[in-house]
Amino acid sequence: MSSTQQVLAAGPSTLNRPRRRSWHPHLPGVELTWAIAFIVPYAAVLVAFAIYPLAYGLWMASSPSLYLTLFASDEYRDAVVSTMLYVGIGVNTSLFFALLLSGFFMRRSRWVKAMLVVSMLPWALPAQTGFISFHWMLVYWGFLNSVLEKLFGIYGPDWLSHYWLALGANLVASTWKTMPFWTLILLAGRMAIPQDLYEAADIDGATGFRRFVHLVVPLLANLYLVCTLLSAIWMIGDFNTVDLVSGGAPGSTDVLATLGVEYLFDHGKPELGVAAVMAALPVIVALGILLIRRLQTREVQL
Amino acid sequence: MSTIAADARLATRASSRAHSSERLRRYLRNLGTVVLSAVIVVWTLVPLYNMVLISLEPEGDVFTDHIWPRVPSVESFWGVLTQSHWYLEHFWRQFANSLYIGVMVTFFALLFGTLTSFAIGRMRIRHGWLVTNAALLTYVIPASFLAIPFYRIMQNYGLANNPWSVIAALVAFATPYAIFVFQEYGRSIPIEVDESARIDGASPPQIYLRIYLPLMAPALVAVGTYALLLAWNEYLVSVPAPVLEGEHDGAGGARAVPQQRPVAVELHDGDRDHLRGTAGRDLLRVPPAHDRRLDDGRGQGLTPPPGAPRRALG
Repeated sequence: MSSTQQVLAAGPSTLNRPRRRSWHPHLPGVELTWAIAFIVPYAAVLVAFAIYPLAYGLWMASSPSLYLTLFASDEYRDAVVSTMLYVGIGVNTSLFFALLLSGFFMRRSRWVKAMLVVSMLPWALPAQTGFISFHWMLVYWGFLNSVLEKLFGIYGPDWLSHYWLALGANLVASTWKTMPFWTLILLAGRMAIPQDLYEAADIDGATGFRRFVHLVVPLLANLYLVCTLLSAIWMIGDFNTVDLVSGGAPGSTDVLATLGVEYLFDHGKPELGVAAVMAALPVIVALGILLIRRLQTREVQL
Repeated sequence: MSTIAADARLATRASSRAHSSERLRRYLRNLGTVVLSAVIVVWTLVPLYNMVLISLEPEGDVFTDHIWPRVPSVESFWGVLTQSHWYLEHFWRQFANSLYIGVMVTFFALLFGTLTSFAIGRMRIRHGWLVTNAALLTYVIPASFLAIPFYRIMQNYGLANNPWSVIAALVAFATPYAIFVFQEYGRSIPIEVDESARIDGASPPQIYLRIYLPLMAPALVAVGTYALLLAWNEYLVSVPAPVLEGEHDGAGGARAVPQQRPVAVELHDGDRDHLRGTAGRDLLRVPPAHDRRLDDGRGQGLTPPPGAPRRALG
């Protein structure tokens, strides 16, 4: 990170703090050699297993005719719509409830701490197991319909054969899986707010909802934004949830990530598969750049 | 006199009213806690309960309409442990694969992560930020976007059918985060520590080994856990590559049971026919249960792969 950015980020109060010193302004020969030697292993991995695959993917998907095929196909348009719905609804639901839940977990009773542990389970357990369980819960003979029938006498629908129900199932499963993580992050953010501020707000008569709106929200705004960006990036690339929960059923809940893999395996068209996901790359890169800038605008919490 | 008494009485009444409203508030608060806790417990545990429920069903009895295990049976668990089902022939080998891949990914992510963050964050090599930013940028590109190019590239590298293809890919995904965390954590260690060591004549590798690594221990544990979980849970990247098993089964062993064969081999052999259409979808559904047996080892693998029941219905 450049020093200007650091200063900008840290704000005026730290302007006259001396610049972080390095070992030496210019590393002497031997040490420079060592430093380069230390970086080389990762740089090799980066080039061979991240930059090269990316370039290879771009090359595979470079033919314009691929995109003409894609944009003309219904399944691709369905996948774009589904991806937008999946990401747009999923990110916001998950983060909004995580924000509220993190407030609940700020309470200091032992009971609430135990609940925190319970609520972390989905995040701690392997994703596939949870998603497969969701899938089996939602199939026609699944647990959900059994419960509906036994307890309420309702005959439930085949959840995964209606577009909105299947999309909803994906969203519920993904929220179930990811919300604990965001709750934890936002809880950490809330805990970083000094107690004095709460006390000051208390003296000024801001409690409960007003304290939340005027104190917590502005202070958590940057963190919340970072989480939103990161969560959006992860959800755009999310393959597991959709693949394992709805599996693309009833034919249109596929998102870009699953559609790409489907093109490869079901249709044997790897180029088309890569093009399907690479078309979303500009969005990812834009979000990524925003995210990196946000991350470097560090210590904004206070 | 009487006015004072009246005042006192008023004050008591007011305070008792305040007291009761306080009590009401506390009551509502507790009620809210109980309701919210109930919601959290149901929301969190229902999918897990369903998992346990299915695993306790006797074999072949999966989609019964029970909502509690009527005849709990550990048959499925026994089946996993003894590899007695065709679907679980290679459970222990697959378990060992997961462990091997997990440990290797953790080791290399930590090694490369600390080395890089040491050179960039402590030694402050010039243009080090280029590496950091490139790392972060690759970190935000989803693995699923690179999966297809990966399959091709691993063949170019001669790593197809080799666990190291999975390890390399996962190290590439895990290390950027490691570098980021190590650099953040490293800021809390004063640079003067390094300087005094240098004055005493320590070389960079010595400083790295004797000062940097010990001081970074908490971050190492955190990132190590992350990398291990990432590797253990990875699914997409390992779909075509979990090739440790099958290869050593002798000729034909792997061929006899298509589901046991890694998808990469299927594709590589060019017999894509049975990968097309729904049958192909189902084959592709096998790997989650197939590669990471422990995760699904709670007996779930004994049931038809997801997707099958849906098709059977109509």
